[in-house]
Amino acid sequence: MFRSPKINSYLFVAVGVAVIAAGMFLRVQNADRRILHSDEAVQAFQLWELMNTGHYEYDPVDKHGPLLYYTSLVLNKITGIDALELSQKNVRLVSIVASAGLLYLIAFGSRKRDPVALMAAALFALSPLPVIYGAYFVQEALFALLGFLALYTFSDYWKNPTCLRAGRFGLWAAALFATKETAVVHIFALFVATVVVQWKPFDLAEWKVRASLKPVSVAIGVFIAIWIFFFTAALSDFGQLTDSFKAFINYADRSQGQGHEKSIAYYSSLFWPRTIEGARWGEAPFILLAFVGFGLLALNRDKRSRHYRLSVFYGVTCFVVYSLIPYKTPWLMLSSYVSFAYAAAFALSRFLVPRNTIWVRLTASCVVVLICWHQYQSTKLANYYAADARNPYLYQHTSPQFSKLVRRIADLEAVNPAAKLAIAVGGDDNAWPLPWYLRENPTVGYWPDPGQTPALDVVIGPTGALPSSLSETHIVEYHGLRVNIVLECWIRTELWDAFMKTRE
Amino acid sequence: MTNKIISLLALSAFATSAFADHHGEKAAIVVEFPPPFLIGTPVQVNLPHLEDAGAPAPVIMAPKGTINIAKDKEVTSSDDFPIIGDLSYATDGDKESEEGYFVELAPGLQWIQVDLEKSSTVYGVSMWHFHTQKRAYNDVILQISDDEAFKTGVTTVFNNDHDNSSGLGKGADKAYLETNKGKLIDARGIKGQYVRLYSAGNTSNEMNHVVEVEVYGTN
Repeated sequence: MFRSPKINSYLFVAVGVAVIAAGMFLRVQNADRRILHSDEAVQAFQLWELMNTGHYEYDPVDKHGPLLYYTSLVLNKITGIDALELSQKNVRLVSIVASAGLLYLIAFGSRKRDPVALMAAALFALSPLPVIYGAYFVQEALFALLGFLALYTFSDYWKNPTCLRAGRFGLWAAALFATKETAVVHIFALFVATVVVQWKPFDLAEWKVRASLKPVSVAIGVFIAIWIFFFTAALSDFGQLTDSFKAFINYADRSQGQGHEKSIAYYSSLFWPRTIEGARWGEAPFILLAFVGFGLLALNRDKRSRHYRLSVFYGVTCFVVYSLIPYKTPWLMLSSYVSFAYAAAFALSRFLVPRNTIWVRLTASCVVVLICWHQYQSTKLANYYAADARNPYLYQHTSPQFSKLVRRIADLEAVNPAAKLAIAVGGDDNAWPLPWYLRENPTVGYWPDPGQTPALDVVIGPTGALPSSLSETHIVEYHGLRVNIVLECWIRTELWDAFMKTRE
Repeated sequence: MTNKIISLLALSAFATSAFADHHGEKAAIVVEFPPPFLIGTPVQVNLPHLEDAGAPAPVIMAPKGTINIAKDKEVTSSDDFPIIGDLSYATDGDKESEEGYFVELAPGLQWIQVDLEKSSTVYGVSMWHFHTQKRAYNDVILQISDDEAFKTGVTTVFNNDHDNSSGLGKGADKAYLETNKGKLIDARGIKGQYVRLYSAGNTSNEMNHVVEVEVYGTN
């Protein structure tokens, strides 16, 4: 039988708040540690356009749902930031706020004063992957929060199928879809988790009640209303509605890899110990505990552990599905990481129960502190190697050397601020995240065919693809973009000489 | 691997005696190389003024009896608490590049400094940053001085900072790829007690590494 150790209410709230504060501190600190990933920069550019024009154009081929941008827009309005003031740090704010919500949900969502929730929140607050992607301008932090809200409301509905609860689930499910197309995986996972934790999962009479017309109609009605609202840009462009369906065809195709395919063991290997060029990575104690916790919860049928079983089975189902899909990126693990934290905390809590001797409980308490400390040290290491190719939690992140190119352009502009620097960028990928950093420069042009790039003041493009005639009028520098991707930066000779005079 | 080292040593000894015969009191500085060991995917290296990969090392003539006077000498650094390795690795005589042989300094412009304990005549300096991956280090600058703080009497013997981004002056030397042969630099008999080696990240990441620094001179 699961009997959780009791904890004083005030102490519970105080520790919970402290854990959330620590998690926020790490994420805010993290937001400024690394230059934008190309995916973040593309999304930041879309946000900047939305803030400038008030319009968001959904693209089913290359964009995710609009909720991240609208949420970010509202958040920036509240904090008084306009498009001109957008920075690397404040575009990541929306993910930090979503992380705060997620931490709150982990610590206080079970509505019980239970150390399992606090330990899970502490592990999630301090661990490297949640810290990095809790301050990363991709959909994942918001998506993880909405996923757990949808999970808990669906579970509530299953317990007591009222129209109000059905409507709440419709709301969060629609928000999940309006954030990212992978919502399909999460809706499947939350359904599996909710059914599996039932005492009689396949009791057809129970299913009949849950599938009755009235509450299901309410859920679908709310879902459709929210879907239409977001995918028509607040009822202003109904053409985007069909695009929102086309996206599923595109993302089904993308799931096969499109250059991002990895082995089935990729996600497990993220957390397993390894040394890369002297830097030691790994979260073996945490992952082993999570594995034990999952086993204990799988065998546990106690009502009091229902919340944890639900949370863990949801994330584990996502983990299995994402492992089976060839397309893999580390941030897709964020929701599953919540479940790992719950499972590890549950395993630890078994040693803290009052029936154990004081020595067992004391030892277990020390293990809790040590594991939290180990996770925090891993986060510190991931922060130290913030954008290093050796950091296993990152994926094709922009090289720190890229910031030198951004600085070089700023320095060249400063040589003669009155004359606008004319910049040509060649190549079909536009050297992202460069367009984000050059967004306020009116004299920047992009040429998909690098061979056609004109010889302006500064010419940037892939190595060996820009016109060879540049060597007669420009000098060349090389700047790293990502691992194995280098950009040529040709600078007009007179401009370079003038710049070098400022360095003498 | 041992056979390779022995062969290299034998070849080096032969070369030394041949040069000594031709130059009377002087002999070519002979550097012992660790075995080559490349792992991982090579990262494309593009730097302005990159030296040809096959460029021969210079032949530096020095008086007979010139030895590595940096061996086991104290090393200090702009990064007092390196996250990987120890500063002493830079003068411990081990030139292999795997884990346990290099010290990793923080990002940005960093230096290590070898204290030769007294003012010495330096004929050549050989250095290895990290050579298990094909990469080049940025803004490699080598200075010698009698001033521990490098404020006065500083002589720069190597500088490949083409844009003066380090703020130590524009350098005309070429960037080069790291190999097991390191980089041998002619110090032209400069006198000094301290040898300082700068770098500012590399073409693979923003960190700075040092495997070994050898200072060939006489006290």
